[in-house]
Amino acid sequence: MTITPSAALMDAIVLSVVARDGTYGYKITQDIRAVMEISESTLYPVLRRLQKDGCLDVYDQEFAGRNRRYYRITQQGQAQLAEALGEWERYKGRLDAIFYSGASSNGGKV
Amino acid sequence: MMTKQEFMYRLAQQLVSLPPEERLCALKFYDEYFADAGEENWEALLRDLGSPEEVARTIQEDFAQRNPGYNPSGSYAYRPGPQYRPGQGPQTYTTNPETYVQRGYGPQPAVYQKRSGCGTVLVVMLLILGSPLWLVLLIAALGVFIGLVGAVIGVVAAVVALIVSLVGAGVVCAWGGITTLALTPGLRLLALGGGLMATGGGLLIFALCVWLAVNVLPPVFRWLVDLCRRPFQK
Repeated sequence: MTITPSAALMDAIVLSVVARDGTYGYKITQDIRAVMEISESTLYPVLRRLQKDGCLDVYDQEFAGRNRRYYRITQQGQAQLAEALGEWERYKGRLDAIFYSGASSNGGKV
Repeated sequence: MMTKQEFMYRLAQQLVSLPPEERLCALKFYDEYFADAGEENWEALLRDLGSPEEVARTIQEDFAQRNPGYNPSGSYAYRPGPQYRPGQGPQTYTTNPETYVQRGYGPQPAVYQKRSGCGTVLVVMLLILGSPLWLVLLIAALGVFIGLVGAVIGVVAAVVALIVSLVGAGVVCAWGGITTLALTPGLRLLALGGGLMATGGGLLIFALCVWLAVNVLPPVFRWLVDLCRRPFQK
């Protein structure tokens, strides 16, 4: 079973992962791949867009003799994440009402 | 199996249509990605990433969404959009001006201008291809018209000839019946009667034609004219 996250949901997932700790591309991808099936090529466009939208900030830091690009969430990113989490709660509530409530709204008709 | 070098090389090739800043950012990301993944995982990583062309497409699609004027498909030619204009952006955009010109980054790419003549060319093509057909149809219509006029003239001439010959022959015959004393009285009566009958028949046909010309022809003519006009009205 595969549920493919929409672009908006993917943004929220990435923002949430980056918000936990400032991190880099490979780690963000692996963190998300631990819980859902996404291709390794999914993340770059999302990160780039969020960066251009002002939701993410980047900075380069030396690691093992090379530069590594780190991402951190901005205030605007925090605001967007909060909004997405609220929307997710409402969405989840509506779906749960369909999935788990015994009394279906159509009166038992097929 | 593709190597990391090959992947990066092909990805870089695919991304030449992007502004250098965007291109370098994407290449740096994947270069770091390989480094962070560790060489032992490259085989699996390359398998999962798929072709560099596919990866390039995801990057270009994202860039296109942010820059409506950008066209990543086909010739990779850049069409200036309202949000992104080469030359007006940060200095990094113009670090490699030759690539810009070669790849159609200029303010007026050729792909864009060729299109305006397309409509005119089509119309001309249609006229050239269609004209013999129209000519043939026109000639055919003219032929039919001439044929119809000829037929009408022929019929009229035949009727006139019939009337003239009937009346003429009838008069001569009747006159002959009266004046030719050499014949037997029976034959003279026959000639007189036949001549009068022929003259009467001719006159009858003449009267019929006059009646037709006065009462029947005008409505028919009007109907025909109406029929011809109908396609051009409404």
